[in-house]
Amino acid sequence: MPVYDQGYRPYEGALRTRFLRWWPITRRCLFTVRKKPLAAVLIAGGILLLYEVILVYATGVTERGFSRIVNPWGYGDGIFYDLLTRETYFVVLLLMVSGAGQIAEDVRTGALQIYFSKPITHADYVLGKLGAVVLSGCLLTLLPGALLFLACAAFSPDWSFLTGNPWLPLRILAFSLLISIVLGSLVLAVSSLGRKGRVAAIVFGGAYFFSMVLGEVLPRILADSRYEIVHLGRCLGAAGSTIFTQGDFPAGSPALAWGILASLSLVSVLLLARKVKAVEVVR
Amino acid sequence: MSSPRPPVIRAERLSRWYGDVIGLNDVTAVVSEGITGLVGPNGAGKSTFLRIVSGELHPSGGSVTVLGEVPFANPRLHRRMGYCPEGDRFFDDLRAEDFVRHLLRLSGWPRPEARRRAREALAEVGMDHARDTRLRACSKGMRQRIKIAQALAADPEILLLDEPLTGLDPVARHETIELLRRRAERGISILVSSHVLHEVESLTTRILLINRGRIAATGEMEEIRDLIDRHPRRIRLEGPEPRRLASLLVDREDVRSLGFSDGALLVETTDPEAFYGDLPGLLVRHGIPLTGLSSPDDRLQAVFDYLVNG
Repeated sequence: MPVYDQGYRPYEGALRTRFLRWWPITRRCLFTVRKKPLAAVLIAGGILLLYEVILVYATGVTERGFSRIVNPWGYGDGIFYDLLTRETYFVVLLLMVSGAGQIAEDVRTGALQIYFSKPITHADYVLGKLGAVVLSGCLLTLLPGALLFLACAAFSPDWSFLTGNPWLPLRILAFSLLISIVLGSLVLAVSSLGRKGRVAAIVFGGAYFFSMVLGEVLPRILADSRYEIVHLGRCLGAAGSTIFTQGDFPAGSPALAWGILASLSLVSVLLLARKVKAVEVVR
Repeated sequence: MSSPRPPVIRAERLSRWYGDVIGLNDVTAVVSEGITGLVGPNGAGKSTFLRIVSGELHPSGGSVTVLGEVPFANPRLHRRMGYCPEGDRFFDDLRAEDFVRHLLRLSGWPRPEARRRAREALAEVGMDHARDTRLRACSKGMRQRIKIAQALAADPEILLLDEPLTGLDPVARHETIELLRRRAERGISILVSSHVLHEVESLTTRILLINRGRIAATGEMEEIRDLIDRHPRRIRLEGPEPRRLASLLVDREDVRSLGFSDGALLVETTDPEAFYGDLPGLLVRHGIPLTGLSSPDDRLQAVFDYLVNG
């Protein structure tokens, strides 16, 4: 009897329809980040920045008496806003190291073929990658922010810090996610354009630092300080200022910043949707 | 009375372009249950066909169904499918077991079950000793078997294997062929691509010949061979006396033409079986030494040339 007449073997597995189908991809990507020594150095550097910020604030208050040293937190959430905006540079560097190759390397090695032969959708794949870069970004934003919050709570002589800042954890979370999602989706979009992680890293880092230069030069040439939000870091800062009610931006800048960041993220996502294919174009 | 099963794969006027390049051109084919060999020379369109069937690529034209469903972006179908792509440079920082387990987790298997299945699949392909070896440290043959393990691990109903025997040593090749046969006996349908005809012959008698993006022939190997045998075969004879040898062969009925190339005699025969049978006696009787005998037409490309250009 021909073997093919025996019919299909019944499917016996206890498979689950996973709600978080993208999570194994995120885990796998975080595993590769963990293996990069430079990423570890950057994360350590970003966390060390936390102590610098504390030191600056503590030093700043010594002149006002000992009681202010043990309670430098009278500054409110400004210290958190400062910390997170300064961490943005570390996030950019970390994403250059750990995020730029996420899709490019999968395209180059053919891993996309394997991924898309499994029961996941393209959206699951992109979400998995985005999850990895956002969590990487949060290591340098949410983690230091949370540590600073805990330090403030621990060193506060009474409950006033906690009672006076009930929304602070959510603000830290929101700003951390904003930074991580915007920069994360951008680095993935750049990564999806090519087949080499290093090239994607250079393009992503170059674009960020070029925007920084433009943000310095344009306001002076055009004599209008509103142009400083072409600097992606300042743009994030302006948007974050509405979360923390901090910062010193010209009128209208925060709203414009939100518009720019939303557009940038949307373009990145659309680019990802278009480019993430396991296709090799043969010429 | 139960309704008849749908064919495993049904392609209707399937085409795929890569920019200006045609990868697959108006292919209509039906693949039924069992093992089917997808045979063709390099660049014929085998991988494109498999990529479309696996749902990785969307066809530019026509339609395809696998197990009755459209494969593109269809996770429900992918649960029932195992795919072993040709490339093997991915996930090279992962250990073999972690690689298979990672892909099982993507398919929705719970963690302990994924671990158990990964180990079983690696053992089945003879790679249990290498489950802690990183893929970058594995040889080509080891990676091939690990790739097959990941395709088998989720108990698929259909297996798509793109050049799975490439890079395997003879023993591993034999073991892999036996493994695939065992799986087929358990009812799995297998579509296996190769550019080496005898590799596919050792697996199945049913083949799908593809060349330049088109299906050149489908059917049982014997039918294809008969088709090939109806065409003249070229044979190259090397020796010190090619002209004398030519004079002895010129009157044979099956010899259609004779020619010389680089000191060798090129014979075109319509009955290669009879020619090969008579040649040793002829050489012995006339004392003609022979230093080389080959047939350029044994290459698969020549088979396709016959079938396509007829």
